[in-house]
Parts: sequence; C-alpha cells; structure tokens
Amino acid sequence: MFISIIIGCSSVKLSPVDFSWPLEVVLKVDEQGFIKEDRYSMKINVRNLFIEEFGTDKDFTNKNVRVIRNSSGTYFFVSEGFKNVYLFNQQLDEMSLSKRISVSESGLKNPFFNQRDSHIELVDGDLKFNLSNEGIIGDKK
Amino acid sequence: MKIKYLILLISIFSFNLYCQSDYEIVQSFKNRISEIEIKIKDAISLEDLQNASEEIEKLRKDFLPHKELLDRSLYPENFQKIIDNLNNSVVIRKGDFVQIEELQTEVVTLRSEIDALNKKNSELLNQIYSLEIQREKDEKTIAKLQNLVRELRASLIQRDELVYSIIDSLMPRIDVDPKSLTDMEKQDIIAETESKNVLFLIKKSLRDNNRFLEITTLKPEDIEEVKRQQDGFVSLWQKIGPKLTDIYSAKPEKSNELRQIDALFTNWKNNLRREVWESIRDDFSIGGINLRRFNNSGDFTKIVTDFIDEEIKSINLKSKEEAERVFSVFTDSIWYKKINNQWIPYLLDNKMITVEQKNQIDQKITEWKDIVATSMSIWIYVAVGAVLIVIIVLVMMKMKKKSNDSEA
Repeated sequence: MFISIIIGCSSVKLSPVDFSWPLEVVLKVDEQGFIKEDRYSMKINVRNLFIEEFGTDKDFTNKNVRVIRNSSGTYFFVSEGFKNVYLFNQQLDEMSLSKRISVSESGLKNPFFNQRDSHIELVDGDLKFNLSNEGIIGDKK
Repeated sequence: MKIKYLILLISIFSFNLYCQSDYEIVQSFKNRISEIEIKIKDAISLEDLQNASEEIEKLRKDFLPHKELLDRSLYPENFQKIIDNLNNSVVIRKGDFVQIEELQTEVVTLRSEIDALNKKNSELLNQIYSLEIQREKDEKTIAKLQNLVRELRASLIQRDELVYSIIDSLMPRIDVDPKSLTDMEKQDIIAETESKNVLFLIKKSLRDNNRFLEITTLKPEDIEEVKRQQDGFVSLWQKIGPKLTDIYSAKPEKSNELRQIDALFTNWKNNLRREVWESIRDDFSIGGINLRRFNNSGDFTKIVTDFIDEEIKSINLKSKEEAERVFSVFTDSIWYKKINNQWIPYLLDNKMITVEQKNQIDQKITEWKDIVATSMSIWIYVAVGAVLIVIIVLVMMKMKKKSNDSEA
C-alpha cells in the first residue's frame, strides 16, 4: 500500500506550466550580497555569482543584477561587466547553476533582458542574443 | 548615396525601437504617470488641468503599442485602469476649482450683505447705548431696549454666519500643510485673503461682539447662545489662524494683524465672563440689593456672604418688617428665583464657580433664615405677653370695680 501511495504521488504531474515573468527585475545588491524582489517574494544571496564571474567577491555592493525567468522556470542572471549569462534552476533552499552562456569577451556594458514568446532576449547596445535553456539560439545578431 | 544613408538611419532607428528594454518602457511609463500626478496635484487653475488631460492622452497614445507588456507588468493594475485613474483625478481636481469659482461668486454677494448688516449693527449699537445710559427708564423705554437688543443679537448672528461663509471659502486653498506650499501658492492665498478682506471682517465681527457685551445686560439663555457662537467662531479660527500665520510669516505687518485678532478673541472670552458676573450683579441690583462689584467666583462668594453677615449683625438694629423684607427680597425674589435657578447651573457648567462655594452661600442663607425666624418668634412672644398683661390688667380693674360696687 505504501509503495502504491509513493507511486501514485510521484506519477501526478501538473502541466503545462508557464513560469515566465513578463518583465526582468533590476535589483540592487546589498552589503551582504542579497537581492530582494517583493513582487515575486524572492530573496537571494548572489555573492557566489560574482565570485564565479570575477573570481572575487569584491565590489558587488550596489551593483544592479538583472533577473528574468523563462516559461520553463529557469532563472537568467546578468549584470554590468559580466561576460556570461548565468542560468539557474530552483532547488530546495537554493539555486543551482544549470548553464553558463558566454556572450561577451570584453564584458557587457549595459545589458538587459526582454521576455519573448519562445525565448529570453539579451540586448547590450548593438548586440542581441536569443537565449534558451540550452544556450544561444542561432547566431548572435 | 543619400538613399543608402537613409536606409542606414532607418535600420538603426528600427533596431533601437525593437531593442528597447521592456523594463525601461515600463519604468518610463511609471515616471510619466508620476509626473502627471504631480501636475494634477499642483494645478492652480483649470487651464493647468486641461494641460494635464492633454498629457494623459499623449501618454495613452505613446504607450498604446506596449499595452500588452504594461498590462502584464503593472499587475494588479493595468494600462487602461491607470489611464482611467488619471482622468478621474483630473475630474475630481476640477471639482475643487469649480467649487472655488462658485465660492468666489458667492463671496461677492456675501460681502455686500455683510456691509449692509455692519451698517445696521452700528446703528443698533448706538441706539442701545443711548437708551442704556438714560438714568431713568420707563416701561416703554425698557421694552424698546429689549427689542433693540434682540434685533441686534439676531443681526450679529446673521452677519457672523456670513463671515464664517467667507472664511469657509478660503478652506479649499488653505486646508493644506503650509510647509508644502510654494512661495507662489502662498502669495495667491494672501491675495485671495486680502481681496475678500477676511482679516478686516473677522476683526470687525469680534469688535462688534465685544461692544455688544459691553453695552448690554444679558440673561443666562442669551449668554449660553453667545457662548455657543463664540465656541464656533474660536474653533473656525483655530483651523485657519495658525495656517494664515505661517502663510503670512513673510509679511510682518499682516502678522501683527493676526496677533490683534488673537487678542480680540481673548478679549471676547474675558468680556463674556465679565458679562456673566455683571449680569448677576444687575439681577441683585434690580431687586434693590446693591452689592460691590465682583468678577470671579471667590469675590462673588465673599461679597454675597459678607452682605448676609452684615444683615445678620444689624437684625436687631432695624425694624422687624425691614429685616423680613430684605430677607424675602434676597432669597425669594433674587436668589432662588434668578441666581440659583438660572445662573448657578451656567456657572457650574462653565466651571466659573465650585460646588463648595455654592454650598457656602446656601449655608449662609440657611443661617440667616434661622436668625430671622428666631427674631420673629421673640416679637411674637413679646406681643402675646403684652396682650396677656393688658387682659390681666383689664380683668383686675374690672374685679376691683365690682368689689367697690358691692362695698358701696
């Protein structure tokens, strides 16, 4: 009976799901490395993101981190000076890196995300990338 | 070459349009809303509101292509709801200006009515004054005086109500935190206050009310009515006085005028209290009991109890009839009929006398009553004794006469 309950529970799925946010959020990093978003009731420490990108956790205070979530629920993170866009999945009590997408050799100057029907759009000046969970879709434009 | 250049420009322009940040679009929309809201709030004329309406329409047109994005991003609001809210704010704010314009028209009418009433009140005050100073008043004069006082009282109330309406007409402009007003807004309010002659009207009203109290003798019910009117006026002044003081802070000569108004209010309050004591003294005086002047509960209690003490001391020095008459006039005609019934409740309600002071006077009256009664019973014993002596003398004389007759 116990096994049948386990099997029964694990077989229930709700789909389709659209986790997408209509708009990116632009969040300022505080002194402890936290960003906080009231609308989505989200508070994340992004200190490790800066260590991953720059190899150091210096100078992240007051930096703006831009976050957006696509329809499948993956979070896209980027910030000024980043060479990569970071994709995270939600886990219990944490977020785990699912992909790092290299987008600039010299670092992005003024990046932003837009939510599009089938992908996330990353724009930085004249550069534009269409991003999915797998990486860049097609060539950069 | 020119065509190539044009194509390049168009392609750059269209790329920029296409690559605009959704986040920036939403932020830009929110910023424009805030700007328009401030314009609506700070509008000082219907023209300003008309401009705000045009900006709302422009905002709507500019952002209509992003309606879907805005609807999703502005949850729980949406694009159309926000535009509607802005338009509603304009309509509500327009109401303030329409109200102001209506009030301004009304004020012109009120001013001419006030002028007429001011003139009438001055004439009435003069007539009452000349009748009051006549030493001897016949019934006809007293009746005329009472009518004039009644007429003046009604006219003062009517005039003051018009003055309140003029003060009320300032409220929509003045009922804000003065610190939030710009210098220009303050100047506008000063100009409006002066064009309506508000400070002069308030001063005139207070002076007339003070003069009315000075030249008339009032009954408790009149005093209560004046007190109610005074409380209403004071409360209205407390709403606008401090704000006008802030607004006029840059004009020292007008600040002085505002201080004068505060002083007139204080005078009016003091005059009303003085009028109460004067009217009580007049009630004693009309009954023929002339007391020294008093203007507080301590003096009043002392002067009344001193008077009774004097009467008690001199009870054996005056005739029985005179002692009885004074006691009867004081107690029956004045104290219990007018003072205790009419004035004491007012004095107690307005904390102008304490219960202890009232009891002190009552106790003294009881003491006086006992002494007058005792004095009366002694006279009765004396009279009965005298009658008995006369009877005994007559009986003895008759018996003596009988014995003389029998001896003869």
